[in-house]
Amino acid sequence: MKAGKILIIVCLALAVIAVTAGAQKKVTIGFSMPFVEDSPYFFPYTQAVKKEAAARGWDLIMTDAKSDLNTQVNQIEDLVAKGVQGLLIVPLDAAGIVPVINKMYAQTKGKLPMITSNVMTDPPQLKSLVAFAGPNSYLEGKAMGDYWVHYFQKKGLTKVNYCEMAGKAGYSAAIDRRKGFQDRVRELGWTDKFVLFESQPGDWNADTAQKIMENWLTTYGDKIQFVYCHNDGMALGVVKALQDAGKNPGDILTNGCDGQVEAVELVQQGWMLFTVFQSPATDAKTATDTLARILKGQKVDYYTYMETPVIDKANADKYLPIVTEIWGTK
Amino acid sequence: MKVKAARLIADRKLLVIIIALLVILSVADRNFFTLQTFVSLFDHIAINGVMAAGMTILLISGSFDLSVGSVMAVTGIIIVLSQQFGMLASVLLGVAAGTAIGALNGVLVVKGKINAFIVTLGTMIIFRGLGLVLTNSHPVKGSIAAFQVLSQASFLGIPLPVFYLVVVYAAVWYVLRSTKFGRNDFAIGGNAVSSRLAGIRVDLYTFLYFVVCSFMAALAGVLLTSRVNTGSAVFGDQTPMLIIAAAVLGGTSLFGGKGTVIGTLQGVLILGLIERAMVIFNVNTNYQLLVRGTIIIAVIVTDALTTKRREGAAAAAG
Repeated sequence: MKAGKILIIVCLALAVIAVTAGAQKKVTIGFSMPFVEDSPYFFPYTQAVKKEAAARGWDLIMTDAKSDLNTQVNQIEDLVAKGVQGLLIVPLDAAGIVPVINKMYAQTKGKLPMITSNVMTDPPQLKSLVAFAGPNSYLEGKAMGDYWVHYFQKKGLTKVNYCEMAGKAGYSAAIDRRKGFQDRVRELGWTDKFVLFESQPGDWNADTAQKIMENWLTTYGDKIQFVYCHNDGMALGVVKALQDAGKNPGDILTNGCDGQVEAVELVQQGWMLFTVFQSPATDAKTATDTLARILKGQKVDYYTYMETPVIDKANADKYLPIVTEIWGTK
Repeated sequence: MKVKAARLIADRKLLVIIIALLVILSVADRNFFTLQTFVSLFDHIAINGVMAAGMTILLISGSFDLSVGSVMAVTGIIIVLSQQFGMLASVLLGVAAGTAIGALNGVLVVKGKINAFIVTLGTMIIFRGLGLVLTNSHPVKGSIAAFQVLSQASFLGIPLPVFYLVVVYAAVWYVLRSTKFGRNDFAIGGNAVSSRLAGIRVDLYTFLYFVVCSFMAALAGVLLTSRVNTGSAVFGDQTPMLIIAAAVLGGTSLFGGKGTVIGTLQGVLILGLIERAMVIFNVNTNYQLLVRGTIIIAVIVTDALTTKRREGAAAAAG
């Protein structure tokens, strides 16, 4: 049992350090993330939330569920048990997060302000939530559908073949970007003119997307006129496959969503037609601003959408320094 | 005697870790040391705990199942998709489907004579794929409010999952200790060849252990689905490794023949406490993996050393 005694002594020492470290009183905010690693978006997003929280003097407790919904539910319950005064949640699953939000609302008798950021709940409007702040993936999908339709309309085409490089199966941004795209295409009366060869989940991942694109090139070749990508990361993979196959910029076009530095450069070079700029910094600021106003007792709208402008060849030069600043260098 | 003594020490080592973690967390967070916390701790480990109990049975027999996460996901999806037939029917269908995956694993391992690792790796991928097909890659939302009561309601202030956890562990503990099913588990895991020579129907029992393991994963699927009111093919992605780790931490051998369900419960509890500690200390969750891995290695190494030392002492005395 010697080892046991040593363990206990070490633990007690750690505990004393922990107590002295956490002595000062601040507003404590819980910040529940679905995952951070492997996500070029969530890394700058969490950094920005931390920065915003520090600027406001909040004591921010961040949890990372590592893509496991059950873990995120546990973590939210743990944050509430720890006594946070506000809770900022990025749901891993739009519908699956709802029960725990309702449960925490009941447990705190509605006194704990909870908002969601980046990913909306399903249903989006809950009695137990104060607000949603962030991007609207559905509107982004619509903007992308709109751009593609108008592009081909201007070219005078009446039949366009395309493939869809979807986001990770089951993720709401993937679902909403698909639905927004389809809805906008239908609104413009182009549903019959857009012929979908194939839709595959590229899992938000450049390598996966590249392999899928290589297969598509083998199967359909130049019959593909464009690839609708759900994000920039996958668009980079698509372009890589096109470059490896000896294509020239514009032979087969693609698009992105996020506004990453590499994507904006590819827009300038003519490989990508456009990307939708969803700035993680703006996203984080929108969320923390909303929560701060709620904590001050101000009334906020249930939905606060951040701006997501389209970056194409016309304005890419203007945006390049901005996106470089936000995403930073890897 | 030797084995028993070593096992006792292993059990106590885990208790020391659990108590140490409890002390740290109680001192660090004044809100921690309450009955409420302990209750929620067991509530949180219920889903993994139920699965780990089934995995322990299978591991003792010397087999292995990587498909439990997919079983959990498919069970949940089928429950949600069949809720139109009523709550009871949907739950039965879901559990039946999940358990059937275990039967398939068992048949392939026993009759196909294929390595369990490869079989369950395959079924893990197949049934995650089936989940995606069934849901068209969209998580599906449950429509029966009463179903959520199953894992969200409390009785006497204690969440229902805690009761399920206790019942499952009591049942598995009894079965392993006092039934032929349990004795054969240890015999087959210890030495399948001599078990066969001794007249144990090794194939039949191995098949049954796979079925039981999947059945438990399906039950976990019921709890998870009820907890989040959603079925999704992405659920339980990382679960197999986590619960195998919990069982191993609890003293179950990956080579079979050795293990206790109480050890597994302690293993699950330790992993749950580490999870809680990450929130209380506000440290990056990445450290959770470091801490988890370090504790597992530390426990297993000291385990191996003490066993060896005892054996050495016994040999010297003899």
